[in-house]
Amino acid sequence: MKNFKEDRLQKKLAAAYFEKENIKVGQRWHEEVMSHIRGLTPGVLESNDPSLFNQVVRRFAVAACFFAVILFAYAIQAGLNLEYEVAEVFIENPAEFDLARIFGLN
Amino acid sequence: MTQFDAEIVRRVINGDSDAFEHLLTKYSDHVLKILKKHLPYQQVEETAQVVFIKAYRSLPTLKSRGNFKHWLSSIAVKTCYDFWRKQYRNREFTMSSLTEKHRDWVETIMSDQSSRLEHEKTLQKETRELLDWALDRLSARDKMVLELVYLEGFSIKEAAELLGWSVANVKIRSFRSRKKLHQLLAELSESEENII
Repeated sequence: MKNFKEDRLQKKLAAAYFEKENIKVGQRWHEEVMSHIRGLTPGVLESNDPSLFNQVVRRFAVAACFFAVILFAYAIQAGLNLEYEVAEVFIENPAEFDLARIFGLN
Repeated sequence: MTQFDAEIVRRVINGDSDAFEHLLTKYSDHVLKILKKHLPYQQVEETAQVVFIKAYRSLPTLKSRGNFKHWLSSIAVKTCYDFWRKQYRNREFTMSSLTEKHRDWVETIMSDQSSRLEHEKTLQKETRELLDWALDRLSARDKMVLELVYLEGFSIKEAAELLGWSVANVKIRSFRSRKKLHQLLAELSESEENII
């Protein structure tokens, strides 16, 4: 009996819900969509083309290599046990831990 | 995807943005049908624009063998969900605008006298208002799942595909949201009894 009542309720609610489909909407928004699309810069389309990823990698490859050389030089100069020292400073006094100061930037 | 759709998609991706108008004309009624059911009337046009612009921008991600209509439906449903999610964060409950008529409707449908309502077309308006009232009290997730599964009759799997959620998530949400809806209507009916 309970199921029967619930089915009846569902049918009534669904009928009211589908009534909303009959509301009239104008077509002027079509023009706005097309004018927006025409105004978009070329290349705005999202892409899943893997060749574009390769292009980005190539573009930044030189900069990445340069950055790696600088980091390597810094690591040689500062000593290779820097990570251990940073961890030690942090454990000793976490409240006043300042990464910028450790690297001498502050 | 039909050959026509595939050709248009290819042209748009290759830079012919005007070709998109063919897809817009062909599928605007389909998208509007979805939006009219899920959104307040005054939001339909604006959201339809958002849906087609999103579709345009994401065209290259449409897999060649995918169904354009289904893909577009999914964008429309997800956009509706985003709308309700934003609304839910800023929601404000106004004083209940439900009248005796709405409460009577619940009472009658829950009792054995529903045949009384069979020919009462005028009550359709009350039913819609009552449904909107109840849906407003659900979270965006519950609302979307309830509308798709309980009211539109999509299968759990279809609803999960449209929303981009897991089947298990939709299954649980569907059960909970249905329960919440029945609870809301039952409470409404009980409050009427208390008044009497």
